[in-house]
Parts: sequence; C-alpha cells; structure tokens
Amino acid sequence: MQVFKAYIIIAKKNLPQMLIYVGIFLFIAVMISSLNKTPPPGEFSQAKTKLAIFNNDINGVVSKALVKFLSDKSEIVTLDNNSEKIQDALFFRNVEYIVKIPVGFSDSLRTQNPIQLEKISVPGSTSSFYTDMLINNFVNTTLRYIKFEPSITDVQLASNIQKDMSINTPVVVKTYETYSGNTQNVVYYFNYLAYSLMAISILGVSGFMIVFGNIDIRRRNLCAPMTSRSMNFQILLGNMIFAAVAYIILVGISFFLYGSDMFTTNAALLCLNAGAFMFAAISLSLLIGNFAKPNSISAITNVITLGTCFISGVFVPQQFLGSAVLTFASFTPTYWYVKTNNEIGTMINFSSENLMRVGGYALIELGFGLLFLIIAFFVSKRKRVSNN
Amino acid sequence: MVIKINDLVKKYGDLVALDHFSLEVKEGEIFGLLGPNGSGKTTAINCILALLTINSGTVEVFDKPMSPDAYDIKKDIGVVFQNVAVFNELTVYENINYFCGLYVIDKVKRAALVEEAIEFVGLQEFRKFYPKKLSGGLLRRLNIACGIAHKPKLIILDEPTVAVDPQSRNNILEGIVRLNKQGATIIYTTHYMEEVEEICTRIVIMDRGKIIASGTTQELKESVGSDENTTLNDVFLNLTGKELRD
Amino acid sequence: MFLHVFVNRLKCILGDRQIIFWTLMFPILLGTLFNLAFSNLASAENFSKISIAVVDSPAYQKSMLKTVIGFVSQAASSDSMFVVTLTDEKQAIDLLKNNKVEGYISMKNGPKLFVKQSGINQTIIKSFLDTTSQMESTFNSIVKSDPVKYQNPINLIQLQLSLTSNANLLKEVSASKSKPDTTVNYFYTLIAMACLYGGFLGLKEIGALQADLSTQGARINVAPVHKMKVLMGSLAAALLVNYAEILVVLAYLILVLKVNFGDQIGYILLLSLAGSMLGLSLGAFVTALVKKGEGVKIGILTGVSMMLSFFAGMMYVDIKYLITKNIPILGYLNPANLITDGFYSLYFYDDHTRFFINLGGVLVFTTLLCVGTYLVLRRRRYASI
Repeated sequence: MQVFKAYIIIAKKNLPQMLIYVGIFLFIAVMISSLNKTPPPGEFSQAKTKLAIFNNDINGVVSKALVKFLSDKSEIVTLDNNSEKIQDALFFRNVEYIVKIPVGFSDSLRTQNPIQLEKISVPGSTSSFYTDMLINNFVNTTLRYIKFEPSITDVQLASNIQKDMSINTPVVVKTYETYSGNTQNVVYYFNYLAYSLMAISILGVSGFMIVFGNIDIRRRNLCAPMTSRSMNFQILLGNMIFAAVAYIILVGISFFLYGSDMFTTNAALLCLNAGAFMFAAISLSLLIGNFAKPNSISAITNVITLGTCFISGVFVPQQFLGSAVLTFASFTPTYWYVKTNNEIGTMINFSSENLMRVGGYALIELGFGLLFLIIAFFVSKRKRVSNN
Repeated sequence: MVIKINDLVKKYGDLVALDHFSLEVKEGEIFGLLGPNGSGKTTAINCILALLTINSGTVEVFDKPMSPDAYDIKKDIGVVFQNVAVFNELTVYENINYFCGLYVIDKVKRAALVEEAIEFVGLQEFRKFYPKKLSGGLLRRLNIACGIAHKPKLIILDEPTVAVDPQSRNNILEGIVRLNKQGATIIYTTHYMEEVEEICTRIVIMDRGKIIASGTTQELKESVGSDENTTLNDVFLNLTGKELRD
Repeated sequence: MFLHVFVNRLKCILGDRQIIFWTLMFPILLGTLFNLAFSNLASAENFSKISIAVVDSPAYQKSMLKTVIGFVSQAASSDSMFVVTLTDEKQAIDLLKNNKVEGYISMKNGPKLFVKQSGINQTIIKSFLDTTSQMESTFNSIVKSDPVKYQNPINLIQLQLSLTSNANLLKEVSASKSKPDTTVNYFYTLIAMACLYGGFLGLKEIGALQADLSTQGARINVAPVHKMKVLMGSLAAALLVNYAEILVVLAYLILVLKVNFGDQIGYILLLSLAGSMLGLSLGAFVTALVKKGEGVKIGILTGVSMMLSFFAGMMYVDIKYLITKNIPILGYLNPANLITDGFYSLYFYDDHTRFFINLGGVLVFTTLLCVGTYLVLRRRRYASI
C-alpha cells in the first residue's frame, strides 16, 4: 500500500491550496443558489418588473388608466427623464423597462393612426416579455372597445378597461405530503454543485497526478515489485477517498442550508445523483491528470468546468438552450446530471417507471465515469513504455 | 587578497549555520572547501555572493566590502551553482549568451566570449540543443559555461561534477586548471576527494559552521598520520567522524 | 540591458508552449461554448412547448377558453405555445403529479389554474389564462352594450374574430446607441478573466528572477545588474505576449462570434492593454508576496481570478447587479468588474465618463500592485534561499 500512503502524504502537502479551492467553490455554489430563490411553498408569485413610466399625455384619461394599471402590476421606479440618468439606471439594472407615453396618445387611439408608445427594455428577459404583454393587452382592449363602441366616453372606456384588466386567474399551488415546496431551491444548489464538484476534482486530482507523473518518481515506481494493476488500484483508491471527502463537505453543507427539506426522498435521490456525478468527475480528472502540467491546470479546469456547465444548463436553464446545443451537451456527464436533478426536483410519485428513468440517467453518468477510467488506464499504460 | 571573511555569523532562526567563520583566499589559488552535508559550505558561498543576510561579521572581495550593489566587484565574479541553472526554453547558445550578456554589454565582444566558452566546455556540436535533450554531464558543462563565459577573475564552483561521467569530469577539472592558469582564482566545493587532491592548492575543511582544518593536501595528510597510504578521504573521515550527517 | 533581457525572456515565454496554448485557448474555447449556450436566448419565442391539461366540463365547452385554446394549440402551427390534453379531473391531477403537465386548468366556478411550482412556465400559462378571461370580459361588455346588434350571428362572429387580431403599438427605442443586453456581459467577463490569467505569466517571470524561487534567479542576483532592469525587461516581454493573446481573443470574439463590443476600437485596445497590465501585475505581486510553494501560488492566483470573475457576473450575471445595488463600493474594488464594466460602457453609453472611471480604476490597481511588487522584490538580500 505504499503508493496509497504516498498519496496521503502528498494530499496533506497540498492541503493549503485544496482548502482554498474548496472554500471558493463552496462559496460560489452557496451564493448563486441563495440568490436564485423561488417563493415559499404554496404561494404563487409573479416577479414584478422594475418599471419606469414617463407620461407626457397628462390629460389623457386612457393614459392615466394605463399608468395606474402598470403601477399595480410592476415595481415602479422613479427616474429623471434625462438620457444619462436613464442610461445609468439601465446599466446598473435599477430599472428593467421604461415606457414613454407621448403627448396626445389617448386621443390618437380614436383616430386611424394611433401614436405608438415608446419602450426601452432589456431584451430577452422574461420580465420585459411579460410587461410587453401587459401593455399590448391593455392597448388592444382599448382599441376593441373603440372599434365596436365608437361612442363610448373616455371615462366609461377607462372604467371598462379597468374592470377587464383586473381579472386575475386564481392559481392553486398543490402541495403534497412527502414533497417539500422548497425542493426547487435544493435542486438549484445541487445543479451548481456540478461546477464546484468538477472543479475541485480536477484541481485536486491533477495536483496529485502531476507529482506522481514526475518522470523520476514514475520510473522508481515502475521498477518496484508491484504490478501495474496494484499501483493503479491504489491510485484509484486514493482519489476515491479524496472524492468522498469533497463530496461529504459540499453535499453536507446542503443539510445546513436547507435543513428539514433535505429529509425527503427527493433530496435523497439528489444526493445519490451527486454521487454518480462525482464518480464521473473524478474519473475525468484522472484522465486529465495524465496530461496536465502545473501551469495549464487552471486554464484546463476553467474550460472544462465552465464550458460544460454553461451548455448543460447549470447557469442557463436547459429549457432556454437550443436543441443543437443540448445534443452537443449530451456528450458530457454534466448534462445528464442536471437533467436528472431537474426531474428529481419535481417528482412526487416515486413509481418504478419514474425511478427507472432517473436511474437510467444516473447510469449514463456512471458510464461516462467508466469510459474515462478506461481511457485513462490505456493512456497511462502507453506512457509507461514510451520514449520518455 | 581575493576573499577575506572575518568572523562571519549566519543563523537560520536558531540554527547557527556559520559560527564565527573566518577565511582568506589569495589570488591565483585553487581553493577547496570541504565538509559534510550541512556544514555550511553553500551558506558560506551564498554569503560571499551577498545573497544572504548576515548576522555579524564582514565579507570583502577584491579588498572591497561585498554588497548586493557592488556591481564593480560582481562583474568579476563567476558562479557555477550546485543546481543546474539554465532556462529550458533557450538553446545552449542562447543560455550562455543570455547570462554572459548580464556581464558583458558589448555584442561583438560577447559573441566572441560565448564562442570561447562553448569551445571550452566542448559543447560545439550541441549549440542548438535545448537543455531537455542533454545528458547530465552535458548539462553540467552548460552550467559551467554560463558561469564563466565572461572571463571572471574569481570563479566559485559549488559541487560542479555531481552525476558526471569520468570523461566529462576529467574535462571539467582540466578546464578549471586551465582557467586558473589564465589568471582566475577558484573556489571549489565537492565531496570527491580525488578531485580535491588533484587540483586544489589549499584546502579548508568545515564542520558545523566552523573551520576544523586547513592547509595543503600534504599538510593535512601529515597531520593525521604519516602512512604513505593515507588518503585525503581518511583525513576527512578522521576529522569529521564516521557518523552519517543529514 | 533592457533589450537583452526583453528579447531573451520573450524567447523563454514563447518557448513555454503549454502556458501560451492554454492562456490563449481557454478564452477562445469558453467563448465558443458561451456563444453556443446563448445562441438561443436572443429569440424569446424559442421556448419549448408547454404541456397543459384541461378538465373537460360543460362550462369549458361553452367558454371562450375553448376557442382560444383551439386556436393556440393547432398542431400544425409552429407558433403554438401549448400541447393540450383534454381529460377528466382525476387524470389531470395525476398528470400534474407525474410531471406530464406543467399545470391543469379547471373551469369549476370560473377558470382556475393548478400547478406544482411557481416557475416561468406556470407564469406563462397564467398570463395566457388572464388574457383569455380579459378578452371574454371585453367581449361580454361589448355585446351587452348593444344586445340587439349581437343577436345577429354574423356580428357576433365578426366580434369574435376581431378579438384574435392584435395591433402592436409598442415601439422599441434605444436609450443609447446600443440596446441593453444581458449576454454580452458574459463575454466581457471572459475577457476580464483572460486578462487576469496574465498573472500566470507574471508568476513565471518573477520566479525566474528571485534567488529564493529558482537557481536561475540566483544567477540574476549575483550578476552586476540592477534587479529592476531585469524586472522591467521581463515584465515587458510578458506584457507583449499577454496583450497579443488578448487581442487574438478579442478578434475571435468580435469577428468570428460576432459579439458586440461597439465600434470604438481605440478605446477597446486601450482597455485591453490596461487589463493585461493588471493581470500581469497581480501575478507578479502574488508570486513575490506568497512565500509558500508553487502549488500554493497557483492556487491563490486561480482562486482569486475565479472569485473576482464570479463577482463580475461570470457564472450568474445578477450577482453583479446585486453587488452594485447593495454594496456598490465592492463593484469598484473588483478589478475584473472594472474591466467588464469598462467594456460595457463602451458598448452602451454615448459618452465616455463611465469608461474613464473604470479605466482609471484598472490603472490604479495596476499601479498599486506594481508598487507592492517592487517593495517586496527590492530587498537585496534574502534570509534564506
């Protein structure tokens, strides 16, 4: 077990930088997931857009009604109507949507050429999409009344629109006995763990493999009366223990963060899935450790961890990624890990059908791990008898 | 006097590496500095080179006080460190040229010196090679060339023949003698007694930061025993004991 | 002497294939992957279809909802948002429980939406239901205003049809020359991170120059040269390489990936240069200051660049806004954020005030780090080597 003992010694020497990495990646995972909180269970909430309204049509009855309507549905931000202040507010996201109502808007609605409202928004955000919809609904309702009841007065018009627009579909959020409504937040945390677990794996394992890969040490090891199988096994064992420690720390923190929400079947499945992913991550790290040099480890880690996380739906949810991207991402274990987490997150009925499905995904992650191990094994075997 | 060290004390924390150490090296000597591991040889050398802070005592080189800013002194010193100190990304030629260039600014003059140095250590066929492709012996030769290319008046060599094959070693020793004949004062540390016997004009044996014996080879042998078969090795072991050191 | 050191250190850096390759490749690879990930975001219409269930009932059959759903879920229509399953209540509950639908609608006592969680899809379904109910209310209002007219089915149908047509009275104007954009920030942060990675070059150069870090450094220290000259020459070589790499990355992002940096090339080049200097001096400072082994230095450099990039919004852009809202001073204390904001202000603002504020911040940091490095290195003798 000499190789294994050497592993422990090297691990101890590398402890300061390992602590740095664990600390940082833990911090990142915790921060992101705490920012991404969904509302408490049982409540349905619509995020309110940060909105600024400049109403230049002060006398317009309809315009006033529009302002009131939008104020009820959004978080109103008061802003000076000068371009620099507006630019600043948009730059720092103090405001997400600005609407300007031009002079004579109300009256123009009754003519053939209604004046257009002006908007400035952050494109692609769901809040601007939603506000667009609100405004369009309001305006179109107005136009319909005007078209089919041309003699309607402004006051009556405003009142009708008010009545129509205030219709709100009640939403019931069903809760289930064994399901914690906070599970979504736990899922977010575990998804971000993909980044942290993989980064720590690669950095940690490579740190060790670089030392061991040093050619003189390698030669000394090769001359020892130890089979390569035994040596590989001990190296694997050492790395597995490292993986276990990292896993315990990172997953363990979730128990502090989410307390009782962790004692559900969903959470248990999430933990298991994280274990499968960790295996894949460690195997990948072993493969990388065969190639990497000290100066390039950091860059390699970043490319692989950040890159796969972005295309696999860790930072940008999978539903927003195009199908081509997702197909490409499905060649990484991260994609399957996130997909599995998302499914586990909404699972209420732990039927065998459901469990087999997520089990299948987890098996794919394990399969990746095995594949990486096999390749790593072949690579290290080749290095053994190379010209080096 | 090329080197004059007076009552030098250097501590690493509580460990006294040099204990009131005094030394004189005259011009034209090939001076051997011997001692077991941990006796303070390398520390003494680093103090001579003004690399280390010292607790007390003085160091003079060429009769002038030595300091990190003493460029006029430094330009006449050449060092061959125990660890091979070359850049892996530069060729043999480029390495020697770079380090020589820190001493000799004139390009024409430097080019000639670099050529001479390459010839001196016998690396003509390897000028375009990178250090990774050189064997241990060749690397050592390169290391030496980098240290002496600028033709210094004082050359300090710290165990220059470690892991070197007999031909290379012979070549190096002959080279050192030649350099000495050309006018350089040499300080030489090593564990190889045969080398010391072969080339050193005066020897100092250190232990635990102090000098425990000094003189010519002959004098040292006589001080221990007048047997014809006494080797310097015997003298050394006699003086420093047969215990293993760190 | 400067030139001598500069040329040789340049050769050394360029000869270090690994470092060159990875500091160049990592932003290019990451940028490509970012681009892939974001390629779909720009068109918000590309949301995938949402599965819903509707509980069939007489009330439903009579409702406007049925008409609208019929319109909205035509299989052939690629604009259709929903995949609708018409079923009974028990089935609907099951479908929701088993994640086969995101929510189900029941018309008992008026339309009601049943969901399991409060996410984007659920909000979309609700909005759809709100709009439909509102349209129904408008419809009923209009009919009530002239019941006689709408006894005639033709008028009724005409009214119904009109409800499906929508005018768009919203005109997008810009606050400045460019639209505010969420995705470019990721690329700007990427450049900032690439600048910070110049720190590894700084690490290499300082290592080659300090006697307590390498024997080559010892050679430098015994030579009759002022260490500062060697430092300047080394850092200049490193800066040249780092800046060149940043320019390559920029060219790739702008020309190949078509990321919008605005068109003020001069200012972009200026900020990139400042960023390179910053990264380099950061690496030099960490190397000079930290006395532990190389592994720890690399760990600190990696950790610091990750943290700074994280706070500049690399993994989650909202972090950046959170900081500027709550602890704005932290935004200015983060060099990565300064670089990112510098690029963004070039892209977004009309004038250069904010740009120069950020550029100034970067230069201040660089100066502080250089001074710090000098103070540490200036010590001529070592306690031990």
